[in-house]
Amino acid sequence: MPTVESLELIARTRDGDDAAFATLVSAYQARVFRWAFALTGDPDEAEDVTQEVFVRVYRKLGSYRGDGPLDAWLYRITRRVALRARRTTFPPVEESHDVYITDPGGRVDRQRALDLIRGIAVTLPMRQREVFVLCDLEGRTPAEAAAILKMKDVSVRASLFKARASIRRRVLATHPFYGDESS
Amino acid sequence: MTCEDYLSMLETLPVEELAYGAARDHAAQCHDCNRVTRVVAARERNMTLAYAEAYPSASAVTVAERAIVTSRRRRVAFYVRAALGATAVVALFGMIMMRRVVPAPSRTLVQETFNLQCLSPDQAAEMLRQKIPHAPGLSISARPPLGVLHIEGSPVEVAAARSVLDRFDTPARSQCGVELTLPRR
Repeated sequence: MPTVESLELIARTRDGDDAAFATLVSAYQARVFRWAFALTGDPDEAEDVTQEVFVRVYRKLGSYRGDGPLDAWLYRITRRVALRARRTTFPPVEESHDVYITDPGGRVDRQRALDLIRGIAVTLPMRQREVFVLCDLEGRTPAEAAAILKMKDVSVRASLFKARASIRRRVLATHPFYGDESS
Repeated sequence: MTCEDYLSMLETLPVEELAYGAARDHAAQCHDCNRVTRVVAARERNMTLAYAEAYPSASAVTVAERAIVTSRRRRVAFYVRAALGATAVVALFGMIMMRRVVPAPSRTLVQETFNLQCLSPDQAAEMLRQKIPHAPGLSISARPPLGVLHIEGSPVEVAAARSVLDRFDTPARSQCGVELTLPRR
């Protein structure tokens, strides 16, 4: 269920309070951007998708009933927009094989972060990518992901299994003590 | 547990789940598997960190403003398109209806030419106009030199005209029928 604050912001936006909508956008913009990026694999396109998502959100707030999670509603809008906008071929990605990508301060620089997510987008088929993002990167349970994606729990688990296997294989393949190639 | 078993588990299970039972024991004994596990865990931790660090470059206020403006523009455009569409539909409907209006059944016209016996064409025409005043479709053409009267109209009107002429264009009823009686000597 959406938080009380979100419902309050939605109600105020419906009443014509643009500042409330700006607050709502600032609360969800980064999340929508990450979803869009994982779905499109292109940061510029993800920016456009994010913008379009909020155009639709503003237009459709009147029809939002508030009986389901706001996240799920936003995710489905993002998915629709991203799938429409997505190019059939991703831009070529030079994936980083460097495992230790954090600096001593523990912060990941933006470009590497973008490269990593783009790598996931290129590696995994759409459904597995969605499940992997929602479960492993955002920490949701398979049941929560199933509710958002409107899938069966067992299908989410199967997709997650495949996604993890695919990503782990790539990680293991680059490891000097295990894989064929060394980085 | 062999290294192969362990690595096949590592391929699909969350790293945290390998911290129990036989998998944990194997990792504690096998230096390579232990190292690979740490690499995978670090990689995934970095991936999660990277994902959480991915931020859009546009500010939320800008995105919100653009969203509001674009949404309002699209709403206006939608209403304009809807109005244009409705106008087009109404116009099309009107055109179709105009074409589909069933024409009035064509009036059957009858023509008849009367050869006048006594009355002149002008007289006969004048008389018909007086005797059949409520016949707007009746067309009477008097052709004086020929002594004929051409009538065009509905069958009823022409029948009425015929009846009138039969009654009045006879020697008995007309001036031409008056017989001159000469005085006897």
